[in-house]
Amino acid sequence: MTNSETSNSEEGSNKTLVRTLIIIGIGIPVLVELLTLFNLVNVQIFNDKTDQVQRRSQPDQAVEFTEGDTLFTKSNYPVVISGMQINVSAQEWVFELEFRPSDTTMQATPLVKVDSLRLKNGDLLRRGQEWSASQSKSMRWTLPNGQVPVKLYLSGKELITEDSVRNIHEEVPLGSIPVRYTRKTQR
Amino acid sequence: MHIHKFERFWIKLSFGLIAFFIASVIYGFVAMDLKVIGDYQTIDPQNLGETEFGTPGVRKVTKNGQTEYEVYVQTIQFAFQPGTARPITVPANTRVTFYITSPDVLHGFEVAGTNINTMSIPGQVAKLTTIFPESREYGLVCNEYCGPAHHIMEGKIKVVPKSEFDKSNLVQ
Amino acid sequence: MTFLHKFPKAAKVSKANFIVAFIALGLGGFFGFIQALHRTGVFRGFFNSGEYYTLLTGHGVLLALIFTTFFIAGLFVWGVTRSLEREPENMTFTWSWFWIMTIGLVMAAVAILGGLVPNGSIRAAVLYTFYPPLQAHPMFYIGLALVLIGSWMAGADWFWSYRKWREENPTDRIPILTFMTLFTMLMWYVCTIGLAIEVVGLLIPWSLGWVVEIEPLLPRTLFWFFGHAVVYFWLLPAYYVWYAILPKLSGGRLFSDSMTRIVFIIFLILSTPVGYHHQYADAGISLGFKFYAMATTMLLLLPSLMTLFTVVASMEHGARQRGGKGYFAWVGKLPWDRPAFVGCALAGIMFAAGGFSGMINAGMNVNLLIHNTLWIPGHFHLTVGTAVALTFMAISYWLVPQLTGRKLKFKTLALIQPYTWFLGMTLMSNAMHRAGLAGVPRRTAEPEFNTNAMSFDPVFGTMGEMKWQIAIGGTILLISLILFLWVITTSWLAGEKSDKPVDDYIPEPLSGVEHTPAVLDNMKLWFALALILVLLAYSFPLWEMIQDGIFEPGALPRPS
Ligand code: HEM
Ligand SMILES: [Cu+2]
Ligand SMILES: [Cu+2]
Repeated sequence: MTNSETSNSEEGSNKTLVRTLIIIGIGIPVLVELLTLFNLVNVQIFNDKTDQVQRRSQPDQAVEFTEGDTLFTKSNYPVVISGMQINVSAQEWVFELEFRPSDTTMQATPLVKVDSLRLKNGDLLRRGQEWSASQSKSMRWTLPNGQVPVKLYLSGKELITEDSVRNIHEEVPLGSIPVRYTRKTQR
Repeated sequence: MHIHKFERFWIKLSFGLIAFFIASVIYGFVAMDLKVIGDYQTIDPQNLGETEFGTPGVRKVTKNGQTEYEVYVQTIQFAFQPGTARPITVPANTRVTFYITSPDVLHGFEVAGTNINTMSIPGQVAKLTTIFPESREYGLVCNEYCGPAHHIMEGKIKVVPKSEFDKSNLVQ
Repeated sequence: MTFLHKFPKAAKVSKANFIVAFIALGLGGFFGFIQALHRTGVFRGFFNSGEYYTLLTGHGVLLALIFTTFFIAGLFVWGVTRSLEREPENMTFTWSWFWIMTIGLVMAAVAILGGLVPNGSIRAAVLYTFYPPLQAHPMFYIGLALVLIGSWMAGADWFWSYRKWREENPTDRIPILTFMTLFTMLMWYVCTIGLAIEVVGLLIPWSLGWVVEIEPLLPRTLFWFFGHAVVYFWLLPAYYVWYAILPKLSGGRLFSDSMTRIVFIIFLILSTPVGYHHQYADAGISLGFKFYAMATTMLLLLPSLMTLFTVVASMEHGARQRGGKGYFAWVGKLPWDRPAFVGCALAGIMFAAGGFSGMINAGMNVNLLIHNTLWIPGHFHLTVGTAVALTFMAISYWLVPQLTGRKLKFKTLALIQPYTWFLGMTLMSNAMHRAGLAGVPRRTAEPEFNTNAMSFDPVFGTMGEMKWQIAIGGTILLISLILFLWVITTSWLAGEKSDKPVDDYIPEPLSGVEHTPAVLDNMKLWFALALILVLLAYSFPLWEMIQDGIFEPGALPRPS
């Protein structure tokens, strides 16, 4: 009836094409759905408690640092993370970090420095900030929208004698950072 | 009007199917005690501080001589309070009623993999009651888009055996 | 002689609408592909997670609102003109609705894409449901309002043609193509009341700062007043194709004229009062109304099941005309080598699957298991994303030649296209459904637990396997989309010119209009009935919501 448009010469190659298309384009979908149905029924009827096995023992959590934790504990100039928050507005994500000395009677005033931040997507935010460990310090970074820092790289410099300096490097994996909405970014 | 006999049969079958679906929902309500959130109870979203939501957390109440727990949860951009900074801890095999509302925008309150799932709408209080049968941890998910950091909003519900439930963290 | 030569003015209008629709489809589909890779974590390098929601808004608005509305307008211009055999009454009016819709679309699109400009202040990352208190730039809402007004004018244009035709043909029955158009538009008028009140009455004044506070539940409820019926606004034009054109493409004719009309009437009456089924999980709407909506939703299965019958019966008739035999063997005699037929048929099959997951959504208690999880996009990519979109693409292979007077090029690619869409969509949607059952949320850039050492627990399978299935499905869909756009663009620009580029004859139904009761054409009656049912469902809850003040209890706006 309506076949007038197809010329007969194409018919042969067309047949194999259509057959292939049906096998791939309809066969695979049908298979996927049947498999799902089978699995669903299988789980419902023969609920063989595989989930008990699946509930993997949680991996030993690596130590993660959050607000209130102390860094450089092995040195004699420990600092405390006294504030940590990400402020999100429509335009901007700003990471705010605050440190205070854990021990205000510190005599030497070594320099500490946040060298860089590691973001969740693996990028490194350089733009270090240096301060004296005997003082409080707050700092902020503008993050790429949607990125969260996961690790801090810090270093400390301590004068042992007049001309010998001891360097300490510390990697600080961060725990969950509170993320809050702010109406405007304060500058 | 002419209706083909197969078509008549098909229409009857369709009506049967529809009746079956409606009946199954009714059955769910009556026999299985499945609950759906209802009720119109408003609250001023800008002054939650003056309500129970001002001190969010788990409370102990006695109803009909039974010990039950009430949990007041604020969903804020971008955290559950409580739930995110520290888990919501409740005992197993005990009635727990959640009251959920939001001071800012719409959020979701979904206990992953269960049918505890409600919207948190500023100005409305969602109330739902449940009994957690086993002690385990559940993920808490915000499943309604609530702003640029929506995907970061998550939390945890910790169900512990009745005997191990620490009452010292309760809100008065 | 094909449509272009008989009605050159209408052909131009149709073509203009199709061009806009296809651009929206291409751009929106590309965003969809990025989303599929991003949210699964397969590749997150295109955009940051904060920008994901701008893309998602673009995807939802461009596909669900723009692509559909413009394609439908083009399709209806074609159908009304053809079946009434008259060009639009006044071309200035016709072009003005097209341009109003287009200007509106551009405004909305600019507001959305502004979100990708660093530090830009024009933003609209509010998703296509734009629930306040999340706030977009006023341009976004004004643009949407213009699209809406344009669509109303388009409907008025078709009623105008009908009135003129009626004056000249006082005793004829409404031709079936026009009947389906007018009833779809009647339904559109009923349901867009809610949207108009929401956008024009609440959101525009609020986004301009004339009022500060807004009550979130009221606009949300008004949105869903519109939001389910809009689903049928997309679907009915696909039914229109399945009823009016698919039987012909399969070599037969429509099974029954009267059943077709009854189905459209049921949709007009029942589409709007079901909106609460999107709010089963909302506080503030009492159970009774949710129950009413649930029962009405289930009743809406009836016209879809009737459609299934008519479509299958018409195809079987076609196949038997082509020499098909046996109970099932006739299926093999269908023209599985014709892109237009294959697309429509596969879309129909997928709609049956979508109907199945839809029934689960409709059950108001089971619903809570999957509310706002990835299950939901899994479901509606079967319905609007395939049943509607694939039907529109497939029928373009048949319509565009009529509108341009050019034959289709690359017929083999055109044939491959619907099969690939079907494959890609099955993979993506199947895994979305399963992930949703495990609790994976929708509308989320990084749907994994970050810090709590938690994970989703699938009933079977693993999260990793589902992610890959979604990403691969999305990629195949993008390939299919590119094939479609390539075939249409090249045919449109460089197809062989012809007087008869396709066989565009549509035969009469098996059981024709002479068997159809006259009451079915009584538009006033059915429109009034639809309004009454809407009032029953909505008047009380809306009244309850505005009692304490339209904007109370009020929340402050949050720029998105
Ligand atoms: C190239 C093909 C497509 C792909 C790869 C795709 C992919 C996706 C994905 C992954 C989502 C979920 C995003 C999320 O919830 O986080 C989504 C949402 C959505 N898609 Fe598609 N899609 C495609 C085509 C379509 C079509 C043709 C339509 C409709 C005509 C459509 C309508 C929608 C809508 C309305 C949403 C929901 C948006 C929202 O939640 O705000 N999609 N799509
Ligand atoms: Cu959220
Ligand atoms: Cu709906």
